[in-house]
Amino acid sequence: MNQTVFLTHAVVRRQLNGSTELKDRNTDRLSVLCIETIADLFGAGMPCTNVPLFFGSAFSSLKSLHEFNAVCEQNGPNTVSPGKFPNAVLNAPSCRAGIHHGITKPIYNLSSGTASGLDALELAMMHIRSRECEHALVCIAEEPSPLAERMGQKPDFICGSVYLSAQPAAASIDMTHTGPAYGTAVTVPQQSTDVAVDLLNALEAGEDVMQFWYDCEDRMTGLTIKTTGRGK
Amino acid sequence: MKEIIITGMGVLSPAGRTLSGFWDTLLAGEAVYAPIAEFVKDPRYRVKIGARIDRQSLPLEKHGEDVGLSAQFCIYAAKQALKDAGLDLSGIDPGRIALVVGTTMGEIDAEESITKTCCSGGQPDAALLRQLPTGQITRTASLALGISGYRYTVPGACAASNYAIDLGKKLLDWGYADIVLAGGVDVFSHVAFAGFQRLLSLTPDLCRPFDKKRRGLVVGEGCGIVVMERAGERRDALPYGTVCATGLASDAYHMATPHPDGDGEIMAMNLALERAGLKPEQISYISAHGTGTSQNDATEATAISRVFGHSTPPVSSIKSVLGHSMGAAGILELIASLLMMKHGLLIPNRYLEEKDPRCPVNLLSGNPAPCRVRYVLSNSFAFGGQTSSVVIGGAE
Repeated sequence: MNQTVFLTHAVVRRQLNGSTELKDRNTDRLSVLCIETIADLFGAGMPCTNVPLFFGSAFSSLKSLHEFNAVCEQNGPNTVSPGKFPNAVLNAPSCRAGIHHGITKPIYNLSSGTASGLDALELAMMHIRSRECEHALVCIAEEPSPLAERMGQKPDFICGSVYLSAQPAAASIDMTHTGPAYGTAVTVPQQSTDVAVDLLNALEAGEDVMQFWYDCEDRMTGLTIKTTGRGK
Repeated sequence: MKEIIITGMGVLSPAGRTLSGFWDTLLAGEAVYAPIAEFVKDPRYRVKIGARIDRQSLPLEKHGEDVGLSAQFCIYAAKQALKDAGLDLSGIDPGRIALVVGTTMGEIDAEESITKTCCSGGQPDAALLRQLPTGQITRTASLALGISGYRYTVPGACAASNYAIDLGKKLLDWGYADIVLAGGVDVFSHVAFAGFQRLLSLTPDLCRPFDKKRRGLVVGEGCGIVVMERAGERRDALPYGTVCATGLASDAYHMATPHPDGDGEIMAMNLALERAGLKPEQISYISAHGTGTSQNDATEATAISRVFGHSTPPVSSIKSVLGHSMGAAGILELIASLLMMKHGLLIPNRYLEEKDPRCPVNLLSGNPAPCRVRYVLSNSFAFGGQTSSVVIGGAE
């Protein structure tokens, strides 16, 4: 039988607090935002902090990649900063966060446009459901950039972190792709982090049952959050 | 739980565009990297060599303007893998066929073209901008292949392929898919080349993994896709081998430098062995990450010796022939390992002249060695401290 997945806590951060001591001064802003958001989450007292990390982002470090490449293009390949090269690799934000928080478990990076957050959340839920892990950290982050703007998109500077667990917590969470009932309100997410904001709102609202339907990246996704009465 | 078998494989690499061509190149053992024309006369490139697929004769179909070069590589390799598996997709629910592709740099060809245009004050082509989002790789490839199951683009740097295999296995084990196409892709990246050049990680001549005089890696490109399915569900499926287990970990140490004691590597290898239910002595061969850089090879060899003891299985890295195809490296090495099992031959480390005493493992050199290969452990380690090992077993 599948393990029930519980939603323990969610946080959303839209700016840097500026006081984080970084191990590497070359760390890019998006990575710092991820580090700080996860710190917020862990600071709320999660049962375990060395857990698998599921990271979703449509753009991830494309801004840093573009900036690194622009230096290469304008000033030559021999002028790029070797310390900033890791920021140009697409797993930079999640791995920098993992390194900062001492995570030795797998770090799964997923990129699927506005569904990136939903995919990261679903994959984490699959892992708990199948008892592959007991706890999971989901991190979803985006940042604005000239490149994204050229693509006609204006993501916020935002990171959401969600803690999932097999241990009973504030709410249970379930996901389906079977499609909503007739007349159900369906959201077209503007960016991948929307789901983290919705989960935070659901936890804060504390209603018995909340449902969200998303229509993105060619499929319907339904999320059901049921309050358990624990952990308020 | 049913075994997960690999029934089809497809490659697109400077070492070959077919399985037989790829195998022949590995057997011949001649490096496929060479001076890159645009770098030769440019003094800003200290290193001139790379492993590239000849673009002029690249047999890629047009799949619409939204399809970037990485996605095109995937479509090419996936079609080859499906044909190799003898799979007719028309009789299968497309929603039960998943596509999982790992990558280091994503649609970097589009990014580099866009940046070049922006830096010269121009307006980038709208089609390139549509190709650029990393998720477009599996989105457009799924559309071109006519499949609609789970699709994951996995930016896991140089461990990306093994992450894709891990996720593909889980989708099958947990019943979310009936067929999974999994692999990795990266096209040649000037950004990666410039970055590695500045990190002093590139060799100016030959890639010599585990050699005392090794000087670094060679930036390459390519794509590999395998067809994964549950054993016993398709009568005409002829497996190359089984995916016994995966081991994924992180070393939580540094973005570009492995933990000096190989902690992450050891965790990944131990986890893969434990999950496969195998003892170290049951492994016939280790396909090393073996990039040819001083630090990677010494750390990996130390980690292998700590997991396997003084008597390690034979170890080699085909990067000595292919260069480092980044996100595709892991899958091309897995495919090479399955071909070694099929042919009963181990491909040695090429250009290994003097073994580095800091690499205390059983390094294969010389000619391909006949061997009954039962189980292989394949390593891929990445920027960000992502470490991964996959254990595969030969077909009975």
